[in-house]
Amino acid sequence: MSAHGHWLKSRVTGSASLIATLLGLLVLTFFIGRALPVDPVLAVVGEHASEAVYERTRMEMGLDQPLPVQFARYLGRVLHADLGTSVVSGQPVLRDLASFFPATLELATVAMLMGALVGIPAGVLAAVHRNRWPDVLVRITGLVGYSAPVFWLGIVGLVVFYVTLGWVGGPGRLDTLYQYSIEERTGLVLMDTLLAGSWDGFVNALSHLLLPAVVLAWHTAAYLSRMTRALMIDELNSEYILAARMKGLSDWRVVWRHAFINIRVPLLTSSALAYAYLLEGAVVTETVFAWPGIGMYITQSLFSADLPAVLGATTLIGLLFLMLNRFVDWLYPRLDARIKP
Amino acid sequence: MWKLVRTTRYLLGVAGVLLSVASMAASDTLVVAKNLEDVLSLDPAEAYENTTGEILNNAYSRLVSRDPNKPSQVIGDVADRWTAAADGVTFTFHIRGGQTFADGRPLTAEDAAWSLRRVVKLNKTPSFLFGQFGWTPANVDGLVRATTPETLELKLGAALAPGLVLQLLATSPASIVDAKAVQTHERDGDLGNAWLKTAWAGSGPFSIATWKAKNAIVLQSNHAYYGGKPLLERVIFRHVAESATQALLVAKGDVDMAYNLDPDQIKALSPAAAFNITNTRKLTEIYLPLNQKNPALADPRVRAALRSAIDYQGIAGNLLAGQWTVHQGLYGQGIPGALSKPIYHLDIAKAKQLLKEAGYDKGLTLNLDVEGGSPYPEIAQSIQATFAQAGITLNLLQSDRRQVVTKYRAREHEVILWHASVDYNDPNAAANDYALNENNADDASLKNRAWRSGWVDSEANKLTLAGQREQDPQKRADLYTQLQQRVLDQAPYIFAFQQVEQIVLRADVKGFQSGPNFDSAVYTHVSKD
Repeated sequence: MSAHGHWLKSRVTGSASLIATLLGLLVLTFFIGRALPVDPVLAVVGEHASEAVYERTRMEMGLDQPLPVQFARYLGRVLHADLGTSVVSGQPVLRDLASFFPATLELATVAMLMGALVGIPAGVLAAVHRNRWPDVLVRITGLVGYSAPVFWLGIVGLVVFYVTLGWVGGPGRLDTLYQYSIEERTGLVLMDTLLAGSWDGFVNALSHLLLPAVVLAWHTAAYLSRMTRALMIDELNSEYILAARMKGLSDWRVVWRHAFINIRVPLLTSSALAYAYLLEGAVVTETVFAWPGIGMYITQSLFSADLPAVLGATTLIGLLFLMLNRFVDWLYPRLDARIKP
Repeated sequence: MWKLVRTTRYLLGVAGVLLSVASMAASDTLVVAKNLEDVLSLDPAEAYENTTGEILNNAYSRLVSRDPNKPSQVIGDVADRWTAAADGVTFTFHIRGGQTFADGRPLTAEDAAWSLRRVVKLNKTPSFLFGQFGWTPANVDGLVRATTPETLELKLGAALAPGLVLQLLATSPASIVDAKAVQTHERDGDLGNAWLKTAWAGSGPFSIATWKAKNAIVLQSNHAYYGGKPLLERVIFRHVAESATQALLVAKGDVDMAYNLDPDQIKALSPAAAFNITNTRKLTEIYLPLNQKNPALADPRVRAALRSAIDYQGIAGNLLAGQWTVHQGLYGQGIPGALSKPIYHLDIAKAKQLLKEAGYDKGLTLNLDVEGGSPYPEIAQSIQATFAQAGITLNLLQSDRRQVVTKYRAREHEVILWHASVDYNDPNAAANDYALNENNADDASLKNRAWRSGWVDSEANKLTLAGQREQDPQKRADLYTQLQQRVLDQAPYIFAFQQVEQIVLRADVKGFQSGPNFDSAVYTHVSKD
């Protein structure tokens, strides 16, 4: 097969797999949503509605139709970029997602950067000093980050750093003083405060972001340091590392220029997965920190039997996973020449 | 190294002080932490949840409103006077002069008439309240009319007690909207519903400036309000679902009020002088409906046994810690005719004897549905323990409230631990819900609490309907006393507790009135020193 034919085949296969995955996701979410023991009509009309109001609303929501028909209609709308209207907020789901997702994106990105910047070097350090005190310290810190419930970490963090010491901002993304005076342009508060030229607002947003980001980053750093440590120990035991040392290369060069460079690809996969996990919306963290993100949106929508919202948000997360996977696939051959595009 | 640590701590400390100063809300702004999950729509013809009721109560005026100092009475609001004809059918309201909407347009009787007709024609959930007036989408145009710009005439399908009519007109669906503004946003005959879900077209003390679903609601003072400018410039409701987070926010002073704190969290707030706790008796009761489809629960001796197998005082003292008190009547305290003292108490021997007489001395097994979230599972566990002493095995089925209500409305339950509020301050609110069941068929149009428990009692129906129509207040009160006794003797409910709402306010917050109803909180007179 020619190079062009190979390229074409890989693109077609990739697109087909993307569509099949998305369709599978929609089917699964739709039918699980319908199997929930909560009446979506009651979520709209409330407990007091008369039978006539109930029946009319049920028909308006299309719930009187057979499930396959309901799904086909939903699919048709999705293909026209219409995720429906949230029964709870009364807004198009797309608009809701545009409002809630930036909060998660901002928190997840900062947490990911913090987690990677701390976790990966810590993992390398632990591998280089295996079974000595730096290794023990990294492993114990990681174990706490991994096993302490996020809810507990969040509350304790708030009590110590917000209530007692007053070092960080409290729950929410901004103090009330700034909340309604900063124009929302991107939905990313750090960006919006800077665009509005409010340095005070930026500092305030940062002070609110710090604690939830650290709580999430701790978990991410724990995961990445464990992965990095295991991968690095394998590499450091390789013969080419022994050869490099025998050539008299410095420890720094051996570790970072020879061993680390060879764990970039599996580490990239782990990092992408960790980022995708954060982008799903950390439900508990968002609840404790009153952070209006996608995790909180999905949870509340589920409890309210707000199926269009649940479906829309799940589709968004599915898309993000797929896009991250695609991005990582694209990056592999650029990091490792042995991998063909 | 230590120098670096000290410097860092110093800088962070300075930053903390600066931030905490910046975080204090202005004295004309009240910040409220509340769980806002129940806000679904802000259209008065559609919204009927706790928080939306509270928002509408402060953003819209009505013909009459509940007297904040005596909520079982009404006072003039948009109307400054009214008359009820002797036939009990015709009511005439005179609109107070000089009232305008925010854009300066005068508020007229036609706005009031259009608003009331709109509720009936849209036929959304709250329309059931006006169904009691005999108004239907087909006849309401002829029955609700502005005879002059200042005069509104209401005709009912049948005579009703004037007190009942006025209480119904003081509820949130009776809010008066700016007819012209709403009509300009009408799409496909929706009477502006799609627009008003998220907008504001009222004339109350506050405007609804912002609603970000599941995030925040901002009320801004309405300078056009006829009653004068509120003391606060704005009220910000922040959605904070987690009560522990609410406690931290109010402790730190980043919010001025916290709605949903547990007794332990309230107790832990210190110094105590920095906070005030409201203790407002609400018309919300915890009760257990007993489905009459279950043959055991249809036996009055079993129902009496169950009532004697609950440790009401122990639950109130040990679990509810002042947030609920024992109350076992049909009408909550605050409604005329409410019982002032408990009538049942824990008596295991009596429960066993009654079960034996009913033929269940070998034991009885029941399922109890209970919603998650303190204190309901804890109450259910206490009931399970005392029922076990009486020989009753109680299986607890815990799920989300919305799942429980789905079962309740489908009559698929046996026993539920449920809490509910009445809709208005008149004995008919409870009577109509718990006692009236004229059609027990599965496809009945009225699926009230009596229907859901499958309880039909002709005497209770007769007393409820008579109470609705009686024009003489004293005779009416007597009818409701008789009805309450009938319900306590015959009906399949175990009334147990009445809510005492505890809201935490920072000490500088003055003038807040919560009122007995789920939607009666008033922010007009709130100030911060």
